[in-house]
Amino acid sequence: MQSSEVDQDQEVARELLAFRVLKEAPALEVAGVAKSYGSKPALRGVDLRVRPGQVVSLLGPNGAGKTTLLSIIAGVLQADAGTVRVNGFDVGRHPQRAQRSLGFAPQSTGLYEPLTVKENLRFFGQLAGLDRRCLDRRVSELCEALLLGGLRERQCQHLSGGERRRVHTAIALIAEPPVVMLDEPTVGADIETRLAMIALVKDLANSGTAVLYTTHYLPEVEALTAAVVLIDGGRVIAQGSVDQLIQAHGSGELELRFKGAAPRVEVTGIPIRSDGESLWVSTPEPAPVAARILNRLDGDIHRLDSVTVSRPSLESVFLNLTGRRLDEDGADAA
Amino acid sequence: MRRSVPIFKNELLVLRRDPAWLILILVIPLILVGLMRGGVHFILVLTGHPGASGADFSVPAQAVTFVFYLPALIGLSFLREHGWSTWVRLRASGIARTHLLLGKVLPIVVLGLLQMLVVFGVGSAVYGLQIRGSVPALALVASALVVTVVTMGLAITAVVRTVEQLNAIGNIAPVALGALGGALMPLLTLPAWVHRIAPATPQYWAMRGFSGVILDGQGFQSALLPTAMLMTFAGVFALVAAIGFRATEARLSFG
Repeated sequence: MQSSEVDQDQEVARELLAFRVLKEAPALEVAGVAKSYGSKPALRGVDLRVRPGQVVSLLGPNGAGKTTLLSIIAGVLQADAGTVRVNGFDVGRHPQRAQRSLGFAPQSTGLYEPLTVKENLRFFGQLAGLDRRCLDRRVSELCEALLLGGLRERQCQHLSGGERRRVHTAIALIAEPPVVMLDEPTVGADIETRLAMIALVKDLANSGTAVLYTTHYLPEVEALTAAVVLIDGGRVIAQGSVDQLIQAHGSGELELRFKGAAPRVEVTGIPIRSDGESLWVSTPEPAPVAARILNRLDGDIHRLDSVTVSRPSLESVFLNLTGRRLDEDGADAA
Repeated sequence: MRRSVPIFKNELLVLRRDPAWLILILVIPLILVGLMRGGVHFILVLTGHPGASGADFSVPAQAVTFVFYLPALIGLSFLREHGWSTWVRLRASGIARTHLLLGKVLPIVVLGLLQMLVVFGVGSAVYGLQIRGSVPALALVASALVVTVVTMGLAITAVVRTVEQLNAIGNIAPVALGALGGALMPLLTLPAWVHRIAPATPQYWAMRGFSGVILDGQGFQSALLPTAMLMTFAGVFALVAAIGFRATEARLSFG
């Protein structure tokens, strides 16, 4: 090894040690990351941390800046400002070391179409430097975990959408990286794939892997008991556990529908909206509020047709914070 | 270098699944040598090579013409990474850009050298090609030619944005430059204006190097100028590739 390489390695080792000793080291740390495409800002100072064994779900509408952020973390796009550390390695200063600590499954499934499932897995494993024995073990483990056992010798061009998605995810995990980023891993996937994916992510977290997971399916976030980072317009607008976010920003919805025009009802401290035949209330606790309103209906209770109670959800958190739904397109970020 | 090996092997594996390119660069030139050598023999006799067989021109000419289809293969090997969405994966894999490029280019170097070996080998064994001069000189020109072809492929890759553009350039270049450079027909049979512009093509210098050794029986010295000229072309192509190649740039693989 040449002396410059030794110096560089020593510098990296010192930096890594300092990082681990001085800080409670997150496996993934994003600090003040900003990125613009021309004059259009895509990220405006994003901060994010994922600890080993933690699943963080990055949520935001299309165009919120999620894919840009993931591309910067993966080292395939350069940030205009800010730093990203993967397993202690600064992506800007030591991109290859950072990348070798990261398993990344981008949104589009990336597979060598004429090659078999096994050949695809082996190639990316070899690229990560796995030896033959380790490679064989990982291929077997991942094929079992992601229900690919019977498909090992099948060319990827002959796989279904869900099967392709599972191989795509397996590739990101082949080298057992300490940090994994899965960008919409269940888009277009069947229920079997979705369940396998959630079980796999839970296993990863249990084994100490830090997982950053983007999705549009909110039940998945709850199933993963993931911490949530809400992103919109290139900014983190809220973060915390699902319960914390709902408690802080969520609201349930109560609808009382009548036969004929909705009556005029007033309850102290509860803003009630009237909409033709319905009364509407947005509240963090819709059930007790429903009871209080029902008590005030008097004779109108006989005209009551239905009562619908929607519990507070992440969707309502996003709606309250941005005035838009999660499945709407973002306003001004890529 | 070690980190380029998986990419090198993967490229060969992908190529093996669709051997059309191997047929194009290995088999078609040999068929054309068989078809053309009779007519070319008379041209060679009329242009001052009474003892030469048609294969003495047709074998190097077809080798030179068809090796220039390899730049399109290089372009395709990059564009299909975009089409298969594997380019992002490769770039995020922690492999250095130089190792990535090396892994993708080395199979083409091997294919180019293999093509030379097979076409010249079968040309000698089956069609009666006679190498009158220095064999090392022939190898030197062939090696420089392969380097030129590979750098041309990288330059084209840096310039094109779609498969359609690649197809247009990749298919026109071998025929047009081959005709202008005297690799389709002996230069002496072509109009005077072609003689003037022929040296601006790498095919001309490759044919000049090969013909000097095969037809005129010249030694190693005769290969130095053609080799130097081919390497100059390679340098220019490499410069274009270095300036134009942007790893982050999205490509339209189809459309």
